[in-house]
Amino acid sequence: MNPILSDYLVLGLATVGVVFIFISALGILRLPDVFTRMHAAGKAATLGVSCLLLAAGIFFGTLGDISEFWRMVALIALFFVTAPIATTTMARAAYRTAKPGDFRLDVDEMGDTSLAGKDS
Amino acid sequence: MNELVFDLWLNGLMTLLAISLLICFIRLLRGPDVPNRTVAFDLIAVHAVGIFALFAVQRNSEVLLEGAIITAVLGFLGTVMLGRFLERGGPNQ
Repeated sequence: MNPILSDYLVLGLATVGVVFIFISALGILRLPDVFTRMHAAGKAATLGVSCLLLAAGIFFGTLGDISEFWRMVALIALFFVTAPIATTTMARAAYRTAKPGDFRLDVDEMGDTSLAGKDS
Repeated sequence: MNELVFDLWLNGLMTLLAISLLICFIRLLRGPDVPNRTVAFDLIAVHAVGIFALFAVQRNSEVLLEGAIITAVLGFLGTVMLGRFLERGGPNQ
């Protein structure tokens, strides 16, 4: 690839990634309860770190080492697999250890089946 | 692109990422209970991976990307471990 173009591509992807991670951190500071914070940390941070890793992969891939690019693609795939698992585990733990009134749910689908939900 | 502009731009991005990491540490410090702190820990691990990637690009050393991979795996394992710990009773039992 043209080196000038790849530099602009690396900087653009890194900027988009850092902005998304910064929005995710603002969300974890400002949002009201634990499930909305989990929503900020689970989705925006995954997109941001994917853009950052893709920028690093393109940078080292255009320097002549194409295997680094594929390793970064594999790491992005690892993030896309592990982030929903981690968020689901945290959400289930937060739901089961909650006291009544910790958060407000409009629809509570686990209200009948949970072990220690707020409605039981 | 000019080498100086590239370096300066990467320095600005790493500064913004460090401020964002500081915001996560504020939530880790004053989160009302342990699930909030678990979410903050997960986001701190993601920040560590991002800082590793940007630092590898700035220093032009591919070895730091190994650190990014290991940090990603350890952050996932730590988050799942904290979630299972909370589900089995938490810090009160």
